[in-house]
Amino acid sequence: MRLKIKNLIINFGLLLIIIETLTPIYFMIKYSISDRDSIITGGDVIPLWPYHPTFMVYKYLLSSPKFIDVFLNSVKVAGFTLLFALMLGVPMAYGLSKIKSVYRDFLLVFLMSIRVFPDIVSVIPITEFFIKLNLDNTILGVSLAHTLLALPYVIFILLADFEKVPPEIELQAYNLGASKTTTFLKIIMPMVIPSIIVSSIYIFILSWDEFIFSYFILGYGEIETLPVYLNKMLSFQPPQNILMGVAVLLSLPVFVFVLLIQKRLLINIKEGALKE
Amino acid sequence: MKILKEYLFELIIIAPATLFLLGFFILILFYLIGVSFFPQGDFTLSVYSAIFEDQEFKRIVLRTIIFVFIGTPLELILSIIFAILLFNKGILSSIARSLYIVPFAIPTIVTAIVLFVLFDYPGGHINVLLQGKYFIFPFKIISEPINWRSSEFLSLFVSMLGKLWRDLPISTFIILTGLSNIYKEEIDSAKVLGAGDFQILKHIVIPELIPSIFTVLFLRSIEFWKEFIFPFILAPRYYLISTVIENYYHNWNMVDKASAVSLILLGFIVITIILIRFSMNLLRFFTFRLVKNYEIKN
Amino acid sequence: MKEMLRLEHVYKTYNNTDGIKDISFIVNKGEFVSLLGSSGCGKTTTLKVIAGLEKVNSGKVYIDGKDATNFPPQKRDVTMVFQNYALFPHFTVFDNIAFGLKMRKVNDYDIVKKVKNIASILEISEYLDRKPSELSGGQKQRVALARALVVEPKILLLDEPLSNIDAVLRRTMILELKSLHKKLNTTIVYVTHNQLEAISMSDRIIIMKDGRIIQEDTPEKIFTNPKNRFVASFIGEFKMNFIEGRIEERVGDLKFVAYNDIVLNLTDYQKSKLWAFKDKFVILGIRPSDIYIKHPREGLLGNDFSGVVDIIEHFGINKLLIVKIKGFPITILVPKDFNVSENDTISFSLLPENFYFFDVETGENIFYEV
Repeated sequence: MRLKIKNLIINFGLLLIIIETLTPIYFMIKYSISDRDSIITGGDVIPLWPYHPTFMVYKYLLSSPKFIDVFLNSVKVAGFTLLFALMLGVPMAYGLSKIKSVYRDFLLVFLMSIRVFPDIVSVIPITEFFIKLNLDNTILGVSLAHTLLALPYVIFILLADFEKVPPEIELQAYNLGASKTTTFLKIIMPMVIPSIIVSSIYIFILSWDEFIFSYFILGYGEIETLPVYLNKMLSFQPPQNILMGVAVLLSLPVFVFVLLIQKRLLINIKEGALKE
Repeated sequence: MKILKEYLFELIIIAPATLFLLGFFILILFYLIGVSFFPQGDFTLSVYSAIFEDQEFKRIVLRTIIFVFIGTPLELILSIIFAILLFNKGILSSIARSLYIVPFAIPTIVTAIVLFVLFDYPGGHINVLLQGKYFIFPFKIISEPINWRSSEFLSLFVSMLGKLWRDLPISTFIILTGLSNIYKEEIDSAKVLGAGDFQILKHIVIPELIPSIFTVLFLRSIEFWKEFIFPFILAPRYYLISTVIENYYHNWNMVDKASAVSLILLGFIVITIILIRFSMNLLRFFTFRLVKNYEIKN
Repeated sequence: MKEMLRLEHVYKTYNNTDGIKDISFIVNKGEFVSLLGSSGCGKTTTLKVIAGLEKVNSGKVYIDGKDATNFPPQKRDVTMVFQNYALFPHFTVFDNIAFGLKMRKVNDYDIVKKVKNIASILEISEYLDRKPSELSGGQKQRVALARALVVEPKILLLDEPLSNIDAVLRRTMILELKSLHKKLNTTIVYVTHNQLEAISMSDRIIIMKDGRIIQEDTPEKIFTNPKNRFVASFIGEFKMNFIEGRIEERVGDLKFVAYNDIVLNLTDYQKSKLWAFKDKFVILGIRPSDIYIKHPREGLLGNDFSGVVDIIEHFGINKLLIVKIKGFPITILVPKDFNVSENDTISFSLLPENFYFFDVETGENIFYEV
């Protein structure tokens, strides 16, 4: 009897967790497929499910030049960030994995400590610096800032993987006459392709989601990324279905990518938590 | 110099990223110090004294401290409860576990805006729900709709809800990892020795979870200090330290004040890190005692 | 003798495959009973059922005369020592041992007295202030035992407690456990896969296989009167020789004939029962220690053979010879100082009174006495 009550409480609690997790997503989707009457109810209770579900919002957004433009900006920023972060991060991680010296850990800790700066703290110096370089209000500027955010993660993920490569493989390559550069590009890099893919997804998501730097660097100028666009929309008090339509389209790529690397993500969270 | 020769290739390939990170690191630190301590070229504390004389800023600091000191323990307690619930095997538990990652897969700004819409005034879903107008929850808790954004407490409460929704899965996951490191036999041993559920929790589970608990405290307190997007969207009238930086910068164009406040925020975070590290080390010398003051020598 | 534990037709299965089926046995007060079987035979599940850590599907568990089937583990007054000891890492040795007393709300004065008493019995008094991580395997073992014993449980359950310590220490612990049992007179149910542990410590042994009880008896009886081929091969330090052959009538006499023309005489008692198996196959078993090595000038004893020593294996005070008779390998146990080397020819006799006979199909001991 006591056991039954205990089980009941546990299952009820679990149910609450599930509901709690899904509620925001449910309402985001619900609003995005709501018709006009389900939002502007004229004093009536707002329904939990739209009266006449419709994909009108998506049709509207996907044919709106403004939205397409913003969407493409986000893609460009994420693409450039990906390029920069990998170009800087992969050699860095490989180089660090090779250096067996106390200075290495010192360097590593120092470089990672850039993450101690909250975004809101580092954003002003970087924005002011970019204004001087005329990088404000440019896709390049935002991408460089996002690279700064992503780089420590990329190094962290890849370093662990490069260290797992047995040293004999490199020695064998040198032994057969390969230079260090060839060994790195032709032998070692291909061995960590899975981690590079995971890192790429990380970088993409980070840049795609990022609000603070995009918001400061792009300011109130012409160019907008999706999160900035969403924030700006809020001040015009748009119909909630359009707001949520943008939200869904912004979330969708992230959602898909996160599901793809779900397992790895949890492992990295665990390792990260242990290292802190 | 030996190291230079030995690692020439490696040093060349790590140079770009090192310079990139180092450059920004120096830029950020020097800029903040330069602008806040040397606004006109000479060293002065005038920016800081202006900030500290501002009654509003004192309120903001206090508000932020309360935000951090309620949010962090709340997240810890909830994550322990969640982890213990999820630790039980079953269909519901595995569904909940597979949903771990969901909040992570939604951009923060989207979560903030969903909450903005849900907590709308007067006709948002939460207001309607609390008025008992939905058949799934026929309890009338409030008679009049609440204007969530016009109250200091409520708007920050909603911001905290958003933060918790987003971060709880990770905290829960950390605690759960700690839980699964406890041998099942330890719990069975405690049971056969006569311990009930509550005593097992008190004497076995919680003490063995201490490292995980500290990890959560450590990571989350920093997170709460840093939090920007939720209060920015959901509590625009009641600034925290992070959102007031944006306000100084964008609305008042006071780069010096924004920089000074940035350094103050950094200071709070560093102090928090040191405090938690310190108490963690302190705890290592602390032993859990079941029977106090027993004399070992015969 | 007072009955302390009784299991009646207990079933506990997981996914309908593993688990225990129809387990019934009784343990009397002060008795030391071993559950013996290879891994996965259900012996640990049986322990957990007794401790209340697993719920039975059906059947009854009586502890000290009371139906305890639905008692939670806390109410059973049955303590258990786990294979990995399961010491609480954050408590000192003292607090580990004190835990059960504290849960029973014993006052601190008595706790200190009792913990110190049990610690001195188990010779761990000097470690009371240490943490489990600072102890060796053997010391952890003693702490786990002390923790389970200090509450003076009605029954003490031991789950392979000696499997994690080395062979030398195991020998000492066997002796110590035995003397501890004598001293404290605790009722003990002991789970092991090691027949030597079971034989040297138990009052009774329960042999399990695939979740069922195969045989339940005293160590001597199990050794001399195994229920079937499985028990016969499981018990005994050296594996029994098994020879498959036919019961045939030769010149009016009943003989056991193995395929390589090994013809063995039988005792009259054996013949009386084996008539029923005439012209049928049976399996003959004989223990390596039961084979009689003949002196070179000793006369015929019946069932005499000579064979070439193929391999010699050394086991402490004994050595094991693998001898081929007519191409068939047979193992013989001889004392260490027995003078023989490989490729020597030795003579020996398979005395019929040492034979066991098993049914070919069921593996049952044809001469099993209930």
